[in-house]
Amino acid sequence: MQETSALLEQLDSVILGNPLATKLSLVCLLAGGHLLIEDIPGVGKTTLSHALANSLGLPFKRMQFTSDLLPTDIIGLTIYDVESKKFHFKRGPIFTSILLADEINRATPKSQSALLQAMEEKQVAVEGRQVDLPKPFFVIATQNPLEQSGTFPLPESQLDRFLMRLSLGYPSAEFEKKLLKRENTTRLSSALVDQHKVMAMIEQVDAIHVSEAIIDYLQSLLEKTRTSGRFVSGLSPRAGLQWLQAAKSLAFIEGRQAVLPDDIKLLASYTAAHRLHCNDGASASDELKLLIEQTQVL
Amino acid sequence: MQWIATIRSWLPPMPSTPPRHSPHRTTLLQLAAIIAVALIMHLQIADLWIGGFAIVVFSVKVIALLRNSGPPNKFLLVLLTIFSLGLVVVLYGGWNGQRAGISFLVLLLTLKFLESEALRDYFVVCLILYFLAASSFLFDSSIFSILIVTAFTLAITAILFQISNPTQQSLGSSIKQSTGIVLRALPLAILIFFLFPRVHGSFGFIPSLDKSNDSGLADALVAGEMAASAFNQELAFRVNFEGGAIPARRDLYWRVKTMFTELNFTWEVGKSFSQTDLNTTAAMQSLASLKQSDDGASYRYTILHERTPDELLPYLDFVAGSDVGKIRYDYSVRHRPTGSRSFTYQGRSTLQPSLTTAETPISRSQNLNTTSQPSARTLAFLDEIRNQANSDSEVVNLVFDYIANSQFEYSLEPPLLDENDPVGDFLFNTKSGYCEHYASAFTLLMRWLGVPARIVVGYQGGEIINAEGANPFLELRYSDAHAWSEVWLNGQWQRVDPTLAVSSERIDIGMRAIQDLWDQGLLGSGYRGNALSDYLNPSGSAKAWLKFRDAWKSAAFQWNKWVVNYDADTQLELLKKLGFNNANHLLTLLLLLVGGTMVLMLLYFIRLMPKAVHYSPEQALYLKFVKRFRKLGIDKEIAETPAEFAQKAVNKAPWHQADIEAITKAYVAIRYGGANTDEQIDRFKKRIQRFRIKAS
Repeated sequence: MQETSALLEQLDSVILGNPLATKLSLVCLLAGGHLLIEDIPGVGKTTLSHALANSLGLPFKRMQFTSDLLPTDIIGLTIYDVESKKFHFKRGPIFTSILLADEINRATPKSQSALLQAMEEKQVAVEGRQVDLPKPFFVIATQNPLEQSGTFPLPESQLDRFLMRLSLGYPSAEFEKKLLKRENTTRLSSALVDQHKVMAMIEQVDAIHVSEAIIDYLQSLLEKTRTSGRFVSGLSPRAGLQWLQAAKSLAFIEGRQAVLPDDIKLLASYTAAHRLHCNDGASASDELKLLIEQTQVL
Repeated sequence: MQWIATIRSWLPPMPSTPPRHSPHRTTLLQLAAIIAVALIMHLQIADLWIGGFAIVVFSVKVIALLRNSGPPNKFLLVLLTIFSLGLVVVLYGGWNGQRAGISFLVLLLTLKFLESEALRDYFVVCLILYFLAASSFLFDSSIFSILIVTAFTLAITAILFQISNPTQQSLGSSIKQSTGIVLRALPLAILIFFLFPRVHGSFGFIPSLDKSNDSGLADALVAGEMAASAFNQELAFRVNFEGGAIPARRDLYWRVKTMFTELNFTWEVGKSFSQTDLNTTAAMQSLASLKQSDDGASYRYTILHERTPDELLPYLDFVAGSDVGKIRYDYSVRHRPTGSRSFTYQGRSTLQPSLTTAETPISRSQNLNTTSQPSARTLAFLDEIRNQANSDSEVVNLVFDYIANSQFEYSLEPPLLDENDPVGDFLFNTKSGYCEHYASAFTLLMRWLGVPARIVVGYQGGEIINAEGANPFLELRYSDAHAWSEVWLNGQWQRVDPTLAVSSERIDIGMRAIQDLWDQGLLGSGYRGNALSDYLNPSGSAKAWLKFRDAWKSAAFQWNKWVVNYDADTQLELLKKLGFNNANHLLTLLLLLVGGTMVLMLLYFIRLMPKAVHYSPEQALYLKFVKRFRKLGIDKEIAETPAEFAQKAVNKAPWHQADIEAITKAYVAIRYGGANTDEQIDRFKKRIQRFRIKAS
């Protein structure tokens, strides 16, 4: 509790005027999921990931995805060492705790799926054996929604791998002025916790209480996405599990012992909307909000 | 149970609670465009005043929409409503009748549109639009009109989709959705239209036809007044002869009514109370029958009549049977008023009167009575005839020959006649006119000469459509209206058509030809020349056009038979064609249909049913707590979480802050925190019971 609020405070001093985005990225990390940020360049995606890594004291790597990126560029490759006359596995950038995969939609589907598979399984296959990735393993992938030429937008099934989708947006006038005056001084923030502490927090998230009432509420929402007829297809059970995990993480960060329906509601557009598509091209987020507005909470 | 899921997936989704967002302005402007179209479609029916008022109200709303201003003053709305109700009453004397009804709907539409604010208001506007669309069928049920109404219905449905959708979507996708939903409904609609059990007779709710748009044959005949109808190209009725054999043109006399009362050169239908006529009517009814087997001398036919206020309806002379009408002493047939729709009936006729003289005596005096006196020059002519003739039949022949041989002319625009002596002026001076001039003059001459005579008004000829095709039928328009005479000779009524003496073309080719030639200025002294033969033997392209016209008219005929006039009898005919000869099969089919429809409806309503909700003890207690805030006007939205509600309640009633926060905390702990021991619930209960709401 103490740690999380201190963490948030530090993050907010770096990322000005967007406490929800910083909180949600922390929620995502502690829930053991991965984050997709869909935004134009220059709104602080890299800064956010840097700050997160620094504050948590976790190793961080950044990869710029390009169309000529190969799966081995991500995972690493086995090379022959002449001196020792042995094959050596040279680890790729994926062996880190926080990975910023910038402009993921620029890479070919082949490279994308190499990353996404690693995200899903938290391990990579090297020479037929499974190599575990560091713990925690958190991917922040970014996507530029405006530039579409020469890109490979993530297919719907791949979007499902991300626990959350965020868009940072422009800062408000007040905070933009502060930014221009460089008042976000702690650019290189110090580590408040370490890797062991982070793993302990992730374990604590699992211990958050989920009442029968929350299960009922979430299940009825999932059911409605399938029967409302507004979406091409409803939410999968995996989506439901991730939604709940995020809610537990949010409750933990806010220092509560139990998940509240407020958590479920707040997270809907971030954890569920990117997995849904409306029949008629309307906004899935708006439709989902409407669906929630029609579902009873007591 | 896969099939149930499949059927359910066809049904449109039902929101568990009605949407409550406010509609987008663009959508409302689209709705305004549709209302504008509806107004244009109906303004010609409604009164000018109503139309003007509706347009003003509509414009005010559109301006308000463009300016984004709020709804008008409530007081003004009440005034407008009272004013428009008054307008309808003053203009139509109530809301009976079609024009009043349409005007009422148009006013309702624009006024509702004006006051609309919330989503459900606009739903009502759409509902009124559907009614207006359907009401178009009262005035026009042609194939074209159904296309227009279908397009209109699609547009309204699309707007409904637009309005009910909280997020703005493109018009194209709404139109796609509405087309989809209409197309999905179409098979069921068609099935129900053709197979749902039809009742005999008409439903009572169809508004009566207004007197102002009467179309039919007048009950009085003054020489020269029928001219207007000669140019009325509106369809009167269509005839389909059984077996396809259509009688010769000279036999195609369609009797509607007879006129035997003459008053100052005006002929009227009159009412007959004479005992002989009553006896004749009785004899006619007992002898005439539709079903009677015959030796091929009679024609059986089905008439599809357009809507008419008339009770006397056309039958081929001489009627020998009718399925619904009541045959009267003068061979006219009375029907019950049919209201505002077109209808079908069947008849059987013979070319000669089927009843013997003894069965149909007449009242001589009734058919000899005149109030008009012949002028001096007419008297001289009458004397001349009387001197030459030895019998009634010779009298008839002499007068007919006089007309045939004295350079009389058939004209659609005859000169006006001298009011004091119309008959003399016509016979010796103008010598120009059409059927009613000849019939009225001839009949009057007969009566002056002592031969019982009367005028028959009806239709003559008609146009044979699809003559060489499989299903020829006859089309008669108001312009085919005709008047001829009947004289009592040898104890029998005999038809004498004096028009035949002047213009055999009118009878042999038909009114249509006469008019076409008249329009081209070819009718007159020289019209027996090339123009007529050209008309009768059209060129290649003209023939193709005629063929196309025939095909189109055939389609229109089938449309009218199978759709517009689809009734219990036609349904039976269709079912027989489908092989349901047996009444039991029929019953099974109907039961299946009705049952199937009900199952579908049931499935639909099961979806609508709210699921039973069981509240846990803490929920029930919390609801009790929430309900108390209603007194302060604080209500919990269904999707509001306890925390959100607490926030709202604290903002609105800060004096309860402590209680609200404590109770909410306790509730959340029990419900979501897993602290739901009996003891805690008990404490919570006491806390709720202690809580009293205060106004401030």
